[in-house]
Amino acid sequence: MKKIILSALCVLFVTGTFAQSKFRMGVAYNISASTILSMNNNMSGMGSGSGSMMSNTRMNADIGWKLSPGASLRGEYFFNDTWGMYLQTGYQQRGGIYKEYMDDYKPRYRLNYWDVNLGAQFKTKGIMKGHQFLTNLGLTQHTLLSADRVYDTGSDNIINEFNSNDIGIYLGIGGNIPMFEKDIFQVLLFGNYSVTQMYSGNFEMNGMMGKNILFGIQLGYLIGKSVNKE
Amino acid sequence: MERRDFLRFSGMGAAYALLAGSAPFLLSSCRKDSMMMDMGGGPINVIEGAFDVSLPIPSVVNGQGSLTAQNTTHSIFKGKSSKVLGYQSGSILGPTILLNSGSSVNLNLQNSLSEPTNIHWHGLIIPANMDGHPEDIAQPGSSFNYNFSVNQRAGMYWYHTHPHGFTAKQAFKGLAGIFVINDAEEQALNLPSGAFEIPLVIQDKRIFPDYALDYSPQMGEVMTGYMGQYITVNGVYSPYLNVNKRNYRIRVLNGSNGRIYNIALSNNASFAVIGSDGGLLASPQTISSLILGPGERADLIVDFSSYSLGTELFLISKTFSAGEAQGTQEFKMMKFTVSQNDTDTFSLPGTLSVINLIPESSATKTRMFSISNAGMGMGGHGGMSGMNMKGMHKINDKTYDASRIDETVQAGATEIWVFDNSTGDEPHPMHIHGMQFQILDRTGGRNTLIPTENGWKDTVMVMPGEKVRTIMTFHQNKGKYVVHCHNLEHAEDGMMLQFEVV
Repeated sequence: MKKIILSALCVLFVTGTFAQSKFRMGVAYNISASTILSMNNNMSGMGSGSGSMMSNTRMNADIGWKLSPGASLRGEYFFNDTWGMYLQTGYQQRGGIYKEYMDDYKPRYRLNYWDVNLGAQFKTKGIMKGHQFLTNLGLTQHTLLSADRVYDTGSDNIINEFNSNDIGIYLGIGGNIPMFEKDIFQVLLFGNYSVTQMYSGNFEMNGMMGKNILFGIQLGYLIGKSVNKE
Repeated sequence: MERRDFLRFSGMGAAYALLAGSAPFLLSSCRKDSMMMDMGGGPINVIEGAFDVSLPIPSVVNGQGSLTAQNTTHSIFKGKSSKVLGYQSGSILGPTILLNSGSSVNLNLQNSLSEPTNIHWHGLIIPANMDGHPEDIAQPGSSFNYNFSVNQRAGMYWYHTHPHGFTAKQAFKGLAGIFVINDAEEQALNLPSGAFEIPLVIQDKRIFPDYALDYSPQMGEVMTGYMGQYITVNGVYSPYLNVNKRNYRIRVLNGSNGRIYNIALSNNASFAVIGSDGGLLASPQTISSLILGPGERADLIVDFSSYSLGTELFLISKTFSAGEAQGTQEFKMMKFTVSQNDTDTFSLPGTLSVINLIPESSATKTRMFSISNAGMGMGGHGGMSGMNMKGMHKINDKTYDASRIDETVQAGATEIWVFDNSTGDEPHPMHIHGMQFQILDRTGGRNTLIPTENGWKDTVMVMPGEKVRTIMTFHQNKGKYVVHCHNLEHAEDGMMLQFEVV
C-alpha cells in the first residue's frame, strides 16, 4: 500500500517538476453510487419452500446501490492541446446494500479502498470561451483498507472475505471551467467497473462472484499557475 | 477575488457542505433510534429447504479434556461455509458429553474469543462455582476449569455459553452442546439405543445472503426474542434421516434463543413422550404434538414400523398460541425417510421410572416471581450492544444486578416458586440454575400441564396469561445461582434474578 501511494506521489512530483506549464495539480471530491455486480446467484440452495416469500422473510442476493464518497489528489499532464494523461490517487468507498432482506433492516457492505487511477485524457474546446470538454479513460487499482458489513445495531469486520487488490477500468466525461489564472474547476461524470473477482475467503469458497461498480460525479480544483510562472 | 481568497472560501464551503451533507445521515440515525420501538418483533417466517442434507450426529466425548470456544466455520447449508462459534474446530455445536451418573467431569474451557465466555451446565445439580453463573467467566485468552461430579438422574441435559451481555449472541452463533447422563434404571428399560437413539438440537438461524450468521437484534426483537428464517437440526439446515421400520428414541432439545416449537409429525401420527428436562417420566404419554420452549428437552419414542418403505415424514412445528410473534406458521424442520426393513422387539414399558412427588405441604415458603412484562422501562442495564433502551424485561420489577442477592434460600429447604405471567403478553421459558423442580399446576392460559411437565424440569414454559407453580427442594450446594427467562434476549435485557443458597 505504501509503495503504491509513494509511487503515485513520485509520479505527480516528477511530472510537475519536468512538465511545468503543461501540468496541473489539485484535489477532487466525488460522490458516487456503488454496488456489487453479482456474477451468480449466491443464494442457491437457501430455501425454495413455502415460506420463502412470506412477510418479513425475504432473502435475495441482489445487491443494490449505496452512496459512496471519495477524495483524491489529481495531477494532469498534457502532451499537446488535445491529448494528455492524468494520475489520481486517494480514498474511495465502494460496496452495496442488500435489496431485500428482513423488512426491518437492510445491511450493507461498506468497502474502503485506496485507489490509484492512471489514464489518458482527451480534451476539446467547449461551448463557452476557455471551457473544455474532457474525456478520461484509465485503469484503476484499488487497495482494500477495510471491509465491514454494516447494519443498524453494529457492524462486522469482513475484510478477509474480499480480495485486498482490485483492478478496474475508468471512464470519465466532463469539462474544465477556467478559474483564476491557469486554474480550472473540473467536473467529471464517471464510471468505474472492476474487472477482477472481488470476493475472497469464505465468500469465494461459497461460490460468490462479484465485481465493484461505481458511478459518480467528481468535482475538482486544479492549480495551474504556479508551475507556469517558473 | 484572488485565487488565495477563492481557495480559502471554497475550502470553508467544502467543509460546510461535508457537514451539511452528513446531516441527512445524522438525522436518519436519529430517526432510526426513535423508530427502534417499531423495528423488528414481528413473526420471522421460516423458509423451508429441500431436505437433502444427511442429518449429522454430534461427536461424543466423555467429560474429560478441553473445550475451546473459538471462531470457526461450519457448513450449515449444503456445500456452503458459514463463520460460526464453536467449542471445536469446524462445528457449530460442541461435542455431546456422555457419561454415567456418578462420573466426574474435568473439562478445561479455553477462551479463544475476543470477549468473555463461560459454560453453564443446563439442568445439572452442581456446585455454584461450577454452574456457569453469568459472572464466572473466562476472559479472552484465559481458561476456566470445570471440575464436578454428576450425581443425578439419567437424562438429556445441555451446556451453553452464559456470560452476561454475550450469552444471546454467543449461543446464537453456536456455543452449545448436549450433555447426556446414563444410569442403571434407564439402561434396564432397553430403550432404543446406538443408531436408533437420535439427538436433535433444533435451532433457528438468521443468515445473511453471504451465508454469515446474522445476530443483530432490533428493539422489537428484544421483546419477542431473536428468531431466524432457517431451522437447523444438529447444526444443518433442512436435513433428512433415513430410518428403519422400527422404534426410535428421539431426544429433542430446543436450543433456540427465542423460538418456541410445537413439535409434531407431518401425518399427525402420535408418538410417546418418555422423558423431559430431568430424565424419564413415570410412564409414557402418547400425544401428537408437544410445545417445547427454548431450553426445554423432550425424550420421544417414534414408531416407524407401520410405514411402508419409501414413506417420507416430516418433523414439523404446528401453529400454536403464544402472543403475536410466535406460532403463526406451520413449517417443516427435517425429513424422515423410511428406507429399510428391520426386526424390532422393543415394546414400550408401561412404567418408566419412579418419580416421588414433592408434597406441597412440605414447602416452607412460597415465592412469587412476577414475569408479566413491565413495559417500557428506561433502566440503565448493560448488555446488548446497539440497544438504546434497556431493562424492559423484569422479574418482580427488577432487572438483573450481579451485586444484588434477590432471594436467599436455605439449603435443604423445600419451596414453592410461582411464575406469574397472568397479565403478560409474551411467553417466558423460566429456567432455574442448579435445580430440578416439579410443576404443581398451571392456571390461566392452557390451564393444564403438558405431558413433559409431569416429570423433573429445569425450564418451564409460561405462556401469556399463565401462572405456573413449581416446587423444589434445594440441595446442599451453597452459593449464588440465577433464575431467568431462557428467551435469551429477555435474559440479556435483564429478566434474570440472583438467588443464594445458604
